[in-house]
Amino acid sequence: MTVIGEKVQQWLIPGQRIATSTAYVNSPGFSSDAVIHSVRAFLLENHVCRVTADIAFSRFGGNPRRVQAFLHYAHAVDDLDAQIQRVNVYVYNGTSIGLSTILEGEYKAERNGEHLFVVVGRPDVGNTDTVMIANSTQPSTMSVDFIRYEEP
Amino acid sequence: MLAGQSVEPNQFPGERIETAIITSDSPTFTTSETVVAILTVDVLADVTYRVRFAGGFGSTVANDSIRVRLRENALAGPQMCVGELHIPVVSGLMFPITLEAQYTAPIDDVVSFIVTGVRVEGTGNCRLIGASTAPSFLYVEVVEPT
Repeated sequence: MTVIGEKVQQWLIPGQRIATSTAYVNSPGFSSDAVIHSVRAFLLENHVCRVTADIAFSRFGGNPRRVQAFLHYAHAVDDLDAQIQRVNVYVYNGTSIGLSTILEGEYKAERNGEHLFVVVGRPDVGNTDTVMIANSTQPSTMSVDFIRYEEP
Repeated sequence: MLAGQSVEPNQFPGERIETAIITSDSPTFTTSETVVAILTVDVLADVTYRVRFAGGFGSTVANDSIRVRLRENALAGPQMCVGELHIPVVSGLMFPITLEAQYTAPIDDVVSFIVTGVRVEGTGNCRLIGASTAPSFLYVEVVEPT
């Protein structure tokens, strides 16, 4: 619902990039669910967007391990809502070069306004040194593109 | 573009033409190539499209490998892209793969794009994995309009 005075932007062109967030530094190491990347996008009600995370994981020492990555719509970084996608990554090498993966999903906005999307990393139990890798020559990127309008 | 102007399809680079959202698992497959996803699209002559699969597979046995193909029209149709995927662990987990190809329509037509899977290593029952909170996608977008 639009309110008086609210700034409304119209995404006219399907495929139009709405927002991009690029990380150039590693996430902190994590041993349980942790928000490791995020992007904010201004969306319009009933507009469907593609949310993509092109990210990489690595480990610093220890054995090869599995990491689960979840793509969420979130009210805030500490208040997750709908899960949009989930993938598994198996990290074999413990180097500074990450094993890259893509999470891709769709989200239909239920209101006009800013929306937050986050990636949550979850390593195997007991692993404390898993990270999302990002640097100037291997950035991790999240993006939001407009796809289509759906009648309510 | 003006307010009220009618918008015809296949006009804009990046424009989404059709999407298949797969929210349930495919039937299992082993060493026979099997269709696991299909998308049928109205295409226009001389328009170039991007065909993209973003999905995941799993197996009942660890360390299987799966060859995933993007084909035109049918199991015996032209191969547009191929990739292989290693499944290191089981438990019905989805391991992702993305395949992408370009397609230029020679004539106005109805074309199907299919994704197939075949196990090339291991002994498990493999499948494309889809769920409402972890779907697989097969879609077509305009790259270059006429």
